[in-house]
Amino acid sequence: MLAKFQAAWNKFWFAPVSPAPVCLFRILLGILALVDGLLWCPDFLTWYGNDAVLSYESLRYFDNGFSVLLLHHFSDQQIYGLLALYLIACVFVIVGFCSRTSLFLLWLLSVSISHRDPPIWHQASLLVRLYSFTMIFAPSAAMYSVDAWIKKFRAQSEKSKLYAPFAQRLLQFQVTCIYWRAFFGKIQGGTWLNGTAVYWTLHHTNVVRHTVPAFFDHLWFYNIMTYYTLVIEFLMWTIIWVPPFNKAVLLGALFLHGGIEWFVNLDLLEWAVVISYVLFLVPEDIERFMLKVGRLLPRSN
Amino acid sequence: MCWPFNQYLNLKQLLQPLNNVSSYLGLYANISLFSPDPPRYADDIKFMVIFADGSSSEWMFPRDKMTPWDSEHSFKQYIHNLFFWSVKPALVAIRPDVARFIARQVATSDKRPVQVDFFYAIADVPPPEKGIGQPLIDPEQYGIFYSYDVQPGDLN
Repeated sequence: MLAKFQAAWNKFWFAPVSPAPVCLFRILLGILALVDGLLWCPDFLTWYGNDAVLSYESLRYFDNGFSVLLLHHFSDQQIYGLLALYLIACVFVIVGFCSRTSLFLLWLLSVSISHRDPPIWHQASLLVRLYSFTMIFAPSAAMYSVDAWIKKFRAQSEKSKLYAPFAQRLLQFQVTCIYWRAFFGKIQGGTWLNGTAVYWTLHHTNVVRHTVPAFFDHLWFYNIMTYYTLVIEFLMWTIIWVPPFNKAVLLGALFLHGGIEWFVNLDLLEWAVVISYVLFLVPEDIERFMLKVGRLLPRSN
Repeated sequence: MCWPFNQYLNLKQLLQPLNNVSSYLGLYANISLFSPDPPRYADDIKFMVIFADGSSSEWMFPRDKMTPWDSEHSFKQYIHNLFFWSVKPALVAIRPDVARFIARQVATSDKRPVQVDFFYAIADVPPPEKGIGQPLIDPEQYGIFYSYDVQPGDLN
């Protein structure tokens, strides 16, 4: 029994698999981080500069107010320089150039910048930090990257294209924990159990992006969507691990997040969650998809 | 990482040191939106600046001016959170920072701000039996909840 468990444990974390999911995830993570960084550009110094809303003196009120990179010694130009460096790291992550270093830089800069203004609760940035740290340990440059192309060019192509998926499993585990947390948080509330939570959410004008069309503005719609949310959040940490059903669950979750994105403004949070779904896909499907994408790209010869 | 144990299995004390480190390193995410229940109200915040010459004007969020197509972006929400998650003492303590920031933003050589007032409005969302089919409510009754007297040194 113990031997069986040990074998299953080892297989789950270490049995070699194709790195295609983490490689595609690297590209999507880079794009997400880049968009997130670009959104900061117009008023970056408002929040992170020397003359920002939150003074350096007030950082003492926060546990996380000590910057890794000691930003309080930086001039405003240098702080903007850090943002530029962050954006360059994003581009490097997307194209897969010096991937591990770029991912480390992405994580380090994102963490350090966040320490300059701890009250900012920007979920996409938060998930970028979470993802990029774990991705440092993944074979994310093995495919679809400049690094892989350089290796091939130097005729140093790796002997095996399969890798131990422990980093991918950690990422998957983090994603399921997000849903676990969300599910257990919600079932403690009365409105989620009586089916009206989505009504209250879509009437909270602080976050509403689009109002509900008259056709759907009925109690039955809010009831269905409330219970649908709970079911999907439950399935996303349970059935998601069962291969024959996980595609259907992911499709259901995609529909949920699409709806949230349309009706509610939560910045890039929905995108930040949805990109992680590629980690649950079958590598062969991703390889086929990327092959098709590759054929669409212009070729030099 | 996202780790629900600390709240649900009463391991908070045990995991606190780990949480502090992982939070500092950006490896902890406590995402629990709209739970245990979504808010049953809508609220808004406005900032008014009174100048030495007696005139006054509303201060707008920088992002509202720069990217008007995205005025609902979270940068506005940041200021909002700053004040209304005020159960955290740190967020109350930094209100003067925000007032000073606003004063610096609007100060010119011929217009000196002397006071920054924070206005807040809140309105209850009607329950489903009354709210379905009705337009969304907009909080309209604003009242001062914080006032800051600008000191000459604040504008440097």
